[in-house]
Amino acid sequence: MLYIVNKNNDVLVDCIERASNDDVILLVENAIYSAIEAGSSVVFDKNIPVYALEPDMKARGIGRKQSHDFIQYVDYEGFVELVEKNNPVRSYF
Amino acid sequence: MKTLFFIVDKPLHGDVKAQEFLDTVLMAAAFDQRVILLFEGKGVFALLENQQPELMGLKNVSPILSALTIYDINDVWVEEEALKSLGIEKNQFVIPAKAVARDEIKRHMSLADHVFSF
Amino acid sequence: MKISIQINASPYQHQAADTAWHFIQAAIARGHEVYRVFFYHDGIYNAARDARPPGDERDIVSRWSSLHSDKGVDLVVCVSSAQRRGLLETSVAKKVGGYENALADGFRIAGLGLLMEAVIDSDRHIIFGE
Repeated sequence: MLYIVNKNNDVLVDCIERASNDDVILLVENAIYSAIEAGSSVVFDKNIPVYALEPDMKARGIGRKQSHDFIQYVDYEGFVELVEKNNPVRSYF
Repeated sequence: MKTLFFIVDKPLHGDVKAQEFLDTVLMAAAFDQRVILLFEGKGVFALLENQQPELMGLKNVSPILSALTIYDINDVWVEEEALKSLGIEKNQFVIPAKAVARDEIKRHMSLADHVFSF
Repeated sequence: MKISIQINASPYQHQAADTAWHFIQAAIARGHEVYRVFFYHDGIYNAARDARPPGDERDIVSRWSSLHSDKGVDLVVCVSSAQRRGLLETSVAKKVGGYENALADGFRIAGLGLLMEAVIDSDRHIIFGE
């Protein structure tokens, strides 16, 4: 499954609690703030791949250096590739 | 026939989105798809009986929930872990729902064709 | 791959319509068919013809209209969501004395059945919202 998370709050925690090893989490919009290592209370599960939509990071002035080292990055084309490879897709709001 | 998962993961009241979400659930059933309606996390509050949304001028969705069986939607699930953590008993619900463990839910959801949330 | 899109949030107040638009551009560029974009809940405001953003801002409504005229993507606004929020189809507006030209070019108003049809026929269904 692909989970699309767009908020920097408890919703991401709910998502991580329910996702499993064969899933993928994509952080978009304000959820990309959760990718930042400093000041984040979100505990990621290292077994679940986490991607961040890099255009949303750049738009907010957030760089890869500030992010957790396990975060992977995609642009919109990469977003589409994640959709190609994973089904179903669940959006968390 | 496709398997469509509909997830209520927040309480139903406070906006009209929930009511509109249930409309899509009924429409999916009218199209003869396999529908699973899951109440997860704080969404299980939506099933509580004795709700009085009329006090806020909102429509009561309980009659829509009661209509689910008329539409042959018999897979109404609640997340077992949510019941425990929120201290809610199934006999407080407005309609019968099956308590299903998170792992089991996940196993089924992974096989679904599409997942709806709001 | 056939992909159907659902948009649940109004433009400008939330980024959802932007994320969806960029995603759709990338999906088409990769050779996928965007079967339909269905506007639901407050997403119906994406079809408001009279939106007039300041000149230095993106014009979200026109951008959707172009997606229809340039790429032939079917843009469907949910009738019950739209009527509830004051966006009427011309024939309905005529009947009830409402504004007859509410919908921007390229959009059409229809029922939830068109959402279900799209979902059933598509390999993927992606929901963008707030």
